[in-house]
Amino acid sequence: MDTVTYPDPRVAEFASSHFVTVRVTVKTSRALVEEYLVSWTPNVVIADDRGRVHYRIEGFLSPDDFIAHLSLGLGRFLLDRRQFDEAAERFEEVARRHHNTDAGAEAQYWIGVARYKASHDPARLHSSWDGLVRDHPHSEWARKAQIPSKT
Amino acid sequence: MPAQAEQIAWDTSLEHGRELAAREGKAVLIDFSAAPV
Repeated sequence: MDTVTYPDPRVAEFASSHFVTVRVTVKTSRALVEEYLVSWTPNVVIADDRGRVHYRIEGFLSPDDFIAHLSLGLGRFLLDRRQFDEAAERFEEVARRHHNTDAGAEAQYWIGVARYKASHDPARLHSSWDGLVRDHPHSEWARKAQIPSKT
Repeated sequence: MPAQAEQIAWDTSLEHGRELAAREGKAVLIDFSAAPV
């Protein structure tokens, strides 16, 4: 991450604009490693000011993929804070910019959730998830969006 | 001469990062790294 992803100016700009950025060195911070259940690095946690974890990124990601996942994490942070419209807008941006990726599929899943939570209209959920199944039929997020009906 | 790329300004204190996040209404991005800043 220090060689390729973090030095990328797009990553630096996105991270600095949207987050407070903290680096924890695992060898000298055993208590935090235990608290945040870090078993492997790279390991990026998006948390709030009370230490609650909203999203986690494990393993190396390219700059493009990392920005997509940071944006997903920001959306999850907003969703958990019940800022549903802002969360949906964030997920829609990921779905638009990273359409043909795993992150795009994940974003499409959460668009449905955020739009439903904002409106309480099940049609908003189903229309988003129908699009997910159509556009990303082989993704795990499409499988998660296909709720089996009772026979 | 090309413009210098922006670098991430890592805070090394999570406690300070949380205080800043509370003031600014932001999330904290915590990079658990094998390498020190």
